[in-house]
Amino acid sequence: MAIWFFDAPGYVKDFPDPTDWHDAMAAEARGIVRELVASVLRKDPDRVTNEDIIREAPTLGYVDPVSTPEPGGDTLAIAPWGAFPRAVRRSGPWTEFPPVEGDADGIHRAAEQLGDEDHRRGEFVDSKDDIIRLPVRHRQDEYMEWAARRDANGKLVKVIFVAEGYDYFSKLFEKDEKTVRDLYREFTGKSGIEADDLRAVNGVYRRFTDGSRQEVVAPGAFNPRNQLNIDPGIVHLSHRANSLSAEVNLAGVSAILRLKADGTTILDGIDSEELLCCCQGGNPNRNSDPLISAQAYTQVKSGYRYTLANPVGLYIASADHHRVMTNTGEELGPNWWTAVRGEGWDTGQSRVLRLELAPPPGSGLTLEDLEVDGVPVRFASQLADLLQIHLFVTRWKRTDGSLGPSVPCTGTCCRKDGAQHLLTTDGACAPGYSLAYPGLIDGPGATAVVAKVSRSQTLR
Amino acid sequence: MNGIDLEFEEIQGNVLAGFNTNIEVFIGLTAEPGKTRENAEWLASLAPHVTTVADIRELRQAMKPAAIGGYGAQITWLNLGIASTLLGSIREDLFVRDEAFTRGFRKRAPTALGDRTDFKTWRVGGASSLDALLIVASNDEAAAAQRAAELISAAESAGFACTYRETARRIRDLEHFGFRDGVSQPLVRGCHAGGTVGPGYFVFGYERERGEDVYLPAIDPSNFLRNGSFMVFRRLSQDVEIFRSFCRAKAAELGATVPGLSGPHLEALLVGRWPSGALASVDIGSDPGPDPNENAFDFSDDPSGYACPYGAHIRKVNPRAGPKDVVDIPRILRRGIPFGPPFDQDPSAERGLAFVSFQTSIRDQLEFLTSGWMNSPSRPAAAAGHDLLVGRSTRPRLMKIRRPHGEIDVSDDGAQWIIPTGGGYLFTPSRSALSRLLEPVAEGVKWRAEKLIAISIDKVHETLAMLAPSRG
Repeated sequence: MAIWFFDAPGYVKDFPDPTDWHDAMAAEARGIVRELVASVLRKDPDRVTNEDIIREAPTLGYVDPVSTPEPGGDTLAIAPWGAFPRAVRRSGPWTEFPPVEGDADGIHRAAEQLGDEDHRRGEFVDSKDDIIRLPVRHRQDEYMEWAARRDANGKLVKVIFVAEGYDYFSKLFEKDEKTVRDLYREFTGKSGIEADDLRAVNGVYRRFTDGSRQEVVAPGAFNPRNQLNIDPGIVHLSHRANSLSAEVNLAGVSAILRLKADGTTILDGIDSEELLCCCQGGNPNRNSDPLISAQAYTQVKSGYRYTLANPVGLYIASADHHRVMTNTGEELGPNWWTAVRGEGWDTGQSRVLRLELAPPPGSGLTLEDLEVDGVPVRFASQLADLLQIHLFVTRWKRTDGSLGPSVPCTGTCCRKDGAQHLLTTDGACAPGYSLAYPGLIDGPGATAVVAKVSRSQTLR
Repeated sequence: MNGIDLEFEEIQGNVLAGFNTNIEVFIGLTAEPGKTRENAEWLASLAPHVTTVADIRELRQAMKPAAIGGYGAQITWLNLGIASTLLGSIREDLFVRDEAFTRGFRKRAPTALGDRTDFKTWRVGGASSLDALLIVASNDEAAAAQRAAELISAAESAGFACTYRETARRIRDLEHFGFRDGVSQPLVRGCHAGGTVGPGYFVFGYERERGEDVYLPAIDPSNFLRNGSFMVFRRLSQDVEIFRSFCRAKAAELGATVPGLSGPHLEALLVGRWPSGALASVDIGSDPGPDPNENAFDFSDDPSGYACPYGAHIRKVNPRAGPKDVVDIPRILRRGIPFGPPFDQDPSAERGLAFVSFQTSIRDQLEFLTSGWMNSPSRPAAAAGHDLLVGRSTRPRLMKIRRPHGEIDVSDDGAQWIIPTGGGYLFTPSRSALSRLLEPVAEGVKWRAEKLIAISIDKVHETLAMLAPSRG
């Protein structure tokens, strides 16, 4: 039986000992299986025994390829999703951003605005309860973020697109601070950066409006919200939900058939938002999470078992080259695009983590000499709108004709009155929200022990 | 009905009801310099004459030819659209926040639609701007011609030049390649029986999704957009001989890997349907005939594209429950009609499709479907290949036929059977908005597009600085 080894995303070689990353990902896979077994057996995950796992794991839609390797399997990229945030586009036109060249309805400025709305309402404090400001790219939530570089005249000369989860850097920092420091130096151009600049010396906590606190970064650990990643940035993803563990979690909770409140199995006639509200694997307001979940669930319905393919990662898949031209009507040659981390750009099998778009040296052009859909480029997010993201799964066809076990929906969603925004819930809706999918669960509190991987234990 | 009261007596009929007549005369008008006032006066004078949804509902039966129970002969209907430049010069209080509409068709077409033919060769909207478009519909060609002539004469007296006129004729609901057109249309909530798609996707002033606030991409203090819609007109020439001979030759070439593949079968796979409208499949080699449930499928049983290829036109523009890269599938109301004689009658004549669609966001609906999906080799499904039927690309185009044992590439070998020959982006106002076209604009709310759009780079930088929160 072949031994499964988890390489680093995009086959990058950052870890001095690659086993460290493999071990982290292997633990993630074990954790997913434990949670799924718990949900099948209606048990608390802490009470799941090794015997339970040995008995139930082979029936699950999700494969832990390290503990229970399967022979063969085929690897495929799932359908890519648009990298421009769906929620931002859907909220346009943005009245707070009046029309300007390159952004008539305000969506491009809205996408680039910094803030901390990626966390529940509150403020960040340290262990001494001092308020700290840690704004990030809080609207770029489709597993890709970007940063602009401008010349002395303010012209846009480069845009850097990144799809690397911050938790990868957290793990790397745990093992090798120097490499993280060096990557920061390289990608920010600031040679004076030290590891301590990236550390949350006194921790980071979210203090909610009711006064309660939740740890975001442990004291002394790598701070994924450090501001060097924002300005001059960009090194890795910053939005709270843009993590590898979120991807793994989503793949996990989507790997099991779901039952509605009336006991019927969800096979057809459900859209991707509703499915995500049922499995609670992510944010239904994005393109990414509902579509990833739906495609993973389709594998289960089609009689496959799957796992996230090695190397697990989120990758910049492709660009709509045909939508962008120079203002003299020429298409961009491949020398405009540089894949800085990862490999396989523009092949259909891209595992690119970091991509740069800039005029070829010596061309005398800037990115503002480009037009996207006939509109002069003024904002980096006009170019981000050209890109798609994808991931890969490895799947195995079940030989017994079964589809595996099924478990009840974990929850449902409330919809904001007057808008399309969905909030996941266990059945209760706050004032100003109404239940969007009442048929998924019986009511508040009806979902005690079901598949919901609450938080990664290894990637933080 | 469904809690939505659409103002049918206001909304132009071609938007929600569709003319569906045998004859439609397209009249393209170009505004002469310095004649804005005359242009506007004449356009406003047409308000009582544009055909509304209510009119069509009342006269649909009467419009039918006498042979099938109608009175047909003397009835004509009118649909009118105004392009951004002319509209902006008349209504200075209106600022539309849809860059597709404001930039206009000719500017957007090369990238957002892939129409890169030399615009100077276009039949419409190229060398001469398309400032207003009239569509005169009838089931009687003489009546339509007479009405069109009257309108052109009046327009020319009001500072317009008629720079395009074309009579389109329905061919038993077929387009020129021989396939039924318009099989699948969104059913609009509040308008069509069983409608599920929100009217706000097609008409301004209504919700798009249930309970959602009204979508209004404009600064519009006089409520001019209400009950209006954006119209896209795209003139697409079709070369039937090239299309059919390509499919014949390619089918023969692929016969070794797809046994039994014929030219008509490959044509059907490119479309996604057979000429009868039945769903096409790699495994079924001939047209099974009309299917009464021709839209009762969602590709959920074909997630891998083994039966109907991902690149098939109908799957590209509506992936339904199959793989896709956005949650919200854009929908448009299509009102196209063929122009030119059927191929069998005169093979050497020019022919094609006068494509017309209605939507409230040109960028997010028609352009997304065209540029994001039809013209893309990798969307909406991974490795989808191009939409060889209609999609455009400057790179080699490939559609993939997926089989369990592997993929088969179908290259277009550089053949071009669709040739873009112009078009326009227009606004179709409501009847009352049209009548208010010359209503005085309060000085305080004049927007003048150049004030908003022609800002300096310094302003962009000011805006960017505002985006970043202060540090400290």
